[in-house]
Amino acid sequence: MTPLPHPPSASLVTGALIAGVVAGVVASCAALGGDDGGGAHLPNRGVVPWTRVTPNDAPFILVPPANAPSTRWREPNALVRDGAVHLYVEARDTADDSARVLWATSEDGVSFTAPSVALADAAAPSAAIAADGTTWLAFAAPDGAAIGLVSSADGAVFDGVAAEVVATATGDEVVASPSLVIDGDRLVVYFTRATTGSAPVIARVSGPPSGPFTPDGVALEAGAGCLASDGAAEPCWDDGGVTSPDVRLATTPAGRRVFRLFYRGVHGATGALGFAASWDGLTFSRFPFNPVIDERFDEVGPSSVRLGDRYLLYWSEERSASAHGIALGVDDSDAPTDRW
Amino acid sequence: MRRSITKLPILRSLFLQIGLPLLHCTTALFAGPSAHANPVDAFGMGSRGIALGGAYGALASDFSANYYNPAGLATGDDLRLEVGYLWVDPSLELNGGDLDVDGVHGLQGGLVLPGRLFGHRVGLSLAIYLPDDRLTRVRALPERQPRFALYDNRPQRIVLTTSAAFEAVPDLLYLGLGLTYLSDTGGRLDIAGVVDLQDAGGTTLISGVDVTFEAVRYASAGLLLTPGDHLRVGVTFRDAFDLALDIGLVVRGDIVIDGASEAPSTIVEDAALTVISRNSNLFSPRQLALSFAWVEPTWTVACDLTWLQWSGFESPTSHLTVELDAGTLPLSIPKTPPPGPPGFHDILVPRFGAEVTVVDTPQVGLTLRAGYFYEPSPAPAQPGRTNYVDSDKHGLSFGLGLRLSELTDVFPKPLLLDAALLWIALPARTYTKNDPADPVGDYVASGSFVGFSTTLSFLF
Repeated sequence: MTPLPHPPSASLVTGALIAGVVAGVVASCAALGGDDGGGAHLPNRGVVPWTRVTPNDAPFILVPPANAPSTRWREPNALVRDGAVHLYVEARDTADDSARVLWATSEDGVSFTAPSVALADAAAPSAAIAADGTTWLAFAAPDGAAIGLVSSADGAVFDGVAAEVVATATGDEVVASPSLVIDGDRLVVYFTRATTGSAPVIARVSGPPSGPFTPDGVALEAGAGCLASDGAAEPCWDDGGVTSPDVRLATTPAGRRVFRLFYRGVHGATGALGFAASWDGLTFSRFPFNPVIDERFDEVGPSSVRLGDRYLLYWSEERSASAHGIALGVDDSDAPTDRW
Repeated sequence: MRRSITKLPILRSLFLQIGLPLLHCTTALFAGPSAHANPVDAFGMGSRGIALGGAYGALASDFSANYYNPAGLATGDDLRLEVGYLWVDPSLELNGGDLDVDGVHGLQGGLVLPGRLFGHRVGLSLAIYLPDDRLTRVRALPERQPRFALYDNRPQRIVLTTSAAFEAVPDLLYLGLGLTYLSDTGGRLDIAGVVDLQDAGGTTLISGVDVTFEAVRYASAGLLLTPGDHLRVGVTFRDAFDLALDIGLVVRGDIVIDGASEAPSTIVEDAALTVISRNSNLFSPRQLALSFAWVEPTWTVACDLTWLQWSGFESPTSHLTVELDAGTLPLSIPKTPPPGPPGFHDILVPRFGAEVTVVDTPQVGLTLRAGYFYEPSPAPAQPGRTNYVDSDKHGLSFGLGLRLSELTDVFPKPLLLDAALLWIALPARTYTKNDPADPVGDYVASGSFVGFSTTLSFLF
């Protein structure tokens, strides 16, 4: 191989290389400081924390009309259809204890259309959309004697014949607050079962849409066995019973099915909201940092949806005879995981 | 353990005003980090070694021999002054979201001094990696918070290595010893003042910070056999080290009501809150590398097999001990259970490299290089509370070496410019939880690194 001629500007080349290195040293040493990274986009399941979207002086996103002082809007149930939130709410008249189900929609989950009546003589709605587009609505009888099921093509008006899913066996039993889950070709209904003298539990029945529905047992009972930091026994936050289930069949990032349950835990005269989950829908494990909502206003009827990258949690509160309605918390971390 | 709703509002107030901010300060400023080893373990040292996929234990004779095999320092004849730069940008994701793990970039270089003693070759050397963002970083993350355990703080270190080597049997056996120094941080935060029990605005605290940078060191040793003109066999041992840190936080002061007023009511005099953080601050696994190389005039192939004792890795999560002396106030601080062992396991890392010289004239030489390594993850599944995230690594590298000779009378010996491109892929790894109500839940980890390294070597 023929040797290359001696470069005429060799010293310049060497000088440029050295200058480049020196410049690199100076530039790099000048870049001191910087943030500690590694904590962005951490997985968020939509369990905590919840930020209330409304101010303290107007704490609700939906309230009954001012000219209906005996009406309470409560036990909201939300689902997402075509990118909009459809909210079903129980409207109960405390004067005669009658109830009906209202329906409203929202593009952002915060500002809703004026509610209209979706189903009369019904309470505590829970809706779910089947694969064929049918909207199923489980509801409780206003007197707590039974839980029914009805369907609708558009989800706005349920005018079909209701089927009975659960009926109380004795006079001292009440069933309430159903939560409807569509699991393949079966409908699963979680509900509150309260018997006089016992703490209310969350029970479950399941069956095909045409019925019959068979009991699957109790999914969650009152909390027990709680320990303080020093190891001593202490009352659980939900030791007075569990009510108002809201169950969603979700998928984890690993592709596993998980039954997500928000519920109301009772302690003394009031309640707070907690979370539990289950792989099989029957055996639920409590969230280690319950309660997830404890505003000390007896929160009732949680309902959670995922709208885009945000998780929304609706519930109802009655702070006083004149301050009550539907509340909303938002968990808008930018890395949501569970989806449904 | 379930949380009780019977906690007193007064305790909550105290926690919000003092406990949580101070715990945050403690962990942010001082407490132990969650990642380990050092940037050289993670990405290599020197451009030629990186370009060869780290299969360099039988070949290294430049400043990077301080890391790869200090015995190689006695094989050279030239005094070498070397300087370069390493830049690595991570893209480490959970469920497709980038965690924005800090990049690694800094100066690297060193000095190699050859000589002869009693007719045998000897070599002394010093090598340094100097990060340009920070000299060191320490922090503690909650046990449950997911983090890429091997890359969180691991590369954020200054590394200084010194080595000595000698020729035990002429042209056959070389032995080397080295000491590697890394920086670490300790400290104490003292706070004194008045804490308003009900109004944060009435709280006045004065703090003092005392931080020290400490050096930790571990030994390395190397052996190099050169039986014949072509075969080179190296054995390198790098010892483990694990530094435990005790970090203290002491708050002393009065607890008052109406602290913002001119006449606050003192509830407790001389209350004290003491927080002690103990954790494994810096860990590097014990390593044993077996290296082979076959050297021809125009090409070289090399392979390394390294055993890393990750089973010695202790929990990087701080164990906090919190004591509160609030006088007669019925306050207590919940105890935090000690973190469990991370359960890492030992791994074997194979590395392969090859280089070929495509231009070789008295004035210019050009060598092309490529390398590959596979590093299985030492991290186990994370079905419980912890989330020490990691995945297998496939490292692919390319590089070139440029030799310029007879450039100038100032440098009568060749000037060497080496460069390497590095790409490390972390295939997706799925983590599942036993508890369906786990706060973090299932996730999928994946990622990659891209980087480059340059080294300029002056030979004298």
